Amino acid sequence: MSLKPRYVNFQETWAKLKETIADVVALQAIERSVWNSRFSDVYALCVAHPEPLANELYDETKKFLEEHVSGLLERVKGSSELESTDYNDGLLHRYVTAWREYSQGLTYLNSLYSYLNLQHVKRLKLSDADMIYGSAAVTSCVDQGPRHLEIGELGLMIWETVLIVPLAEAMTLRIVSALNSARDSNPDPTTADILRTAIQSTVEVQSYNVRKPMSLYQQLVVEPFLAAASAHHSRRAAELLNARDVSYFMKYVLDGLEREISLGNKFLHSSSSEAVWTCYEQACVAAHLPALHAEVERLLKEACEDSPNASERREDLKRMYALLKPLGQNALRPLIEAAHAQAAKEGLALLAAEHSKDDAHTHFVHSMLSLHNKYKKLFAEVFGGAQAFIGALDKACSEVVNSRAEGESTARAPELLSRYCDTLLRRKGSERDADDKLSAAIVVFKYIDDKDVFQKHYARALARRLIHQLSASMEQEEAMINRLKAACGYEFTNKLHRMFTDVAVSSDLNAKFQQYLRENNLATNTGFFIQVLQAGAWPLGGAMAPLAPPAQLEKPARLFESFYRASFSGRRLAWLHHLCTGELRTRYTQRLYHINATTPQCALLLMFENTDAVRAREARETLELPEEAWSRHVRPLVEAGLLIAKGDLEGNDEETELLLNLNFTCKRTKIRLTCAAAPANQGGNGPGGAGASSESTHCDDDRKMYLQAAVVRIMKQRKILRHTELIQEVVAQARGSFAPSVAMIKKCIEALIDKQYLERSPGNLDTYSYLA
Amino acid sequence: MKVTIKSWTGVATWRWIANDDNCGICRMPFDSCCPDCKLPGDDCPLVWGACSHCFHIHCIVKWLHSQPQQQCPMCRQDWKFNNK
Repeated sequence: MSLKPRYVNFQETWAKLKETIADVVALQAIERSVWNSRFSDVYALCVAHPEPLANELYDETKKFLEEHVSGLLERVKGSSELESTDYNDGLLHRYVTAWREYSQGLTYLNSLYSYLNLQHVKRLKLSDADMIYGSAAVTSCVDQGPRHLEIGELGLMIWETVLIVPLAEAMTLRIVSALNSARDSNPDPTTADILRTAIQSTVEVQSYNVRKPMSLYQQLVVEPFLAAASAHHSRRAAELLNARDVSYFMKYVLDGLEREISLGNKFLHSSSSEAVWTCYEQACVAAHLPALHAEVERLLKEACEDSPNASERREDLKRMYALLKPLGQNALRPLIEAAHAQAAKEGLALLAAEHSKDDAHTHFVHSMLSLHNKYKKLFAEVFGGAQAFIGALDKACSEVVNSRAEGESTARAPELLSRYCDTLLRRKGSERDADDKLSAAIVVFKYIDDKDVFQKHYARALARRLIHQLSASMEQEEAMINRLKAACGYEFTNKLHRMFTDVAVSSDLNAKFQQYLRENNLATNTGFFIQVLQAGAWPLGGAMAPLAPPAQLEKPARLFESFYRASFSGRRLAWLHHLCTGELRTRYTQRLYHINATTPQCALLLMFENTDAVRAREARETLELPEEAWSRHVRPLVEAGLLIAKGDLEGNDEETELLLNLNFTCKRTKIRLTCAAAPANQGGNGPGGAGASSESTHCDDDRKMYLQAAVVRIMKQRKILRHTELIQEVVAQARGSFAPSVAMIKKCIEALIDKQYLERSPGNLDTYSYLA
Repeated sequence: MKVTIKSWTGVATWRWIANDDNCGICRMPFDSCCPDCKLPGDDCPLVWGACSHCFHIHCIVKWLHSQPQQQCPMCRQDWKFNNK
């Protein structure tokens, strides 16, 4: 056969062709030779001489297909009642049979016409890009030209317009009712298959439509289905909620959600699964939010108690979270708030529980830790450790930690926690245990607002431990400081590190001193150990009691001073006698006692060398002790029974005498005499009162300096800044060590304006500018 | 002897003996450190010149490096470290 264009008789050729395509769309068998010659016929028509007959062929084919589909429509309709919702009346079945046959036939037809499609239609067709980004001129491409579709696509379009449109309502009714009943009971496989194919056909039939590929499916299936589903779910949910309690409701709703999703996956196109899900959530959960929220508090409370159905309640909460989560923050908020309130309430109750006063610090830290662990576990189990709930727990913990008892101006947490650490670090015991406990203490530490107060308490306790060598292990001390550093940064532990360095330097210094003594043939007569500390780094209280040390002690002190002066130029040493300790051995008693006492106490005891009674006033003058320090040092001696006071110790009574107790006995051979704390330097066992208030003013001053420095830093960088922004930035900077009050920041800003670091911008009162 | 001293643990603090409160170069107190350091004390020591003026060592070294002549910034005498 020749490929050359030639004259073709259209009527004749079309008659032959029509016969064949009628067979093709009806899926009748066609011989290979017939197929081949029809294929050539299509070609011949398209390239016919003198005029190509492609347009006529296209139009005739269209007409034929329209007629064919109208025939199918009658077949599908059959005798069924169009308004019926009975999906088993055969209409869907007939539709699906016809669709299968037609769509299959259409693909064959499309290949028979492939020359026409390729050469003729393509020229008329718009590219995909034109369709998507097309200019306004080609908006409705479907109606644009009469012959722009390939034959296969044309067939689909005809199916839609000729067959589906008249049947649309009938199909929708049946599909929706079929889906509804499929929800409750699994349909048998054939029905399911029919249903699926029918729904699928609404998608496929528009596959040529690039612009709105699924509008028919949406309109025919999804929208009516969702409307029906939503009505159904709302009704069901309302019934359930009325009939049973919330626990049952949630369980049912969650199961239903699963069923609904699988229903969607089974029958609907994958693009609509989200819509199905949202519709369900809206109807079942969103509509009943108040009812769910009303139960939140009770469920949480019961889940937290040690009641037998706590685990059940936890399951309930888990379900509730699963239901509320997809609805977003607003739906979850009451749950989060209730979680927060519950944790905070329990925390406060724990703290308020009965405990002995001496154990306040242990009680506090252990309560906090048990609270934190319990809720962390609970929230992880129930809410999958979601960020919002962790946040709520954090908020609750920090509220509890920083809560103040009535009548207290500041929270006690910093003091209690530092005492807890102090106890642990002093105790000699299993190291691992203490390590774990200290790590856990960091958890509590992170919640403390007044970290600067904690730092002061901790620094003082550390100083005591280092000077009196009370630490159980230096590794532990250092590990703890590193933990604090990790939590709060370098600035925070700066001073603590300096104290550590001093201790290390001091032990070097002692070794060098001993060497110096050997080289110069000198001796101190007594054991001698010294700690040289850097002034300013240690929280020791400024007051340095002047004291004339006893002759026995003066010698090593002078030796060391001269050694120190030779080793380091330009440094002055100052003795802190209230911290120096001497170890004495008694010889006047029956048993031998080792007494550990402060220097003034040693000096006092040494006074009894030649006598058994000393006048208090004379002793005080010899020791050059001020009145207040005197009673602090003497009292422990009297209380321990080493000395007997005759008369009033405090007053300036001329007659008061101190007698050496020659019959002194004690169960222990080692006696440790402490020195009551100086008022300016609140000790560990000192009660609150005056010490605490001076402490808080001290802290306030530090905070003011910190805030002023922060303000200047920020302003130096920003030059001009609005008031609110400045406050925000300052708060952000200070958060690491304390929570500043806005009033305090304002005062600091005022002070800086007075000092001419800042000024209010002229004409703009809420803006500050930096003065270089 | 009624009582003998077995041993004694002394505690003392030290601070710089300087003829001024502040470093003449950086104007920071001698008890504090120079602006480049984080910690006062052994890490940021003071030095004395033959002219008796005293500075943070980091400050005076920086000053001497930036000057053509090695002079004390306070009294313009030739700078010599006083190694007494």
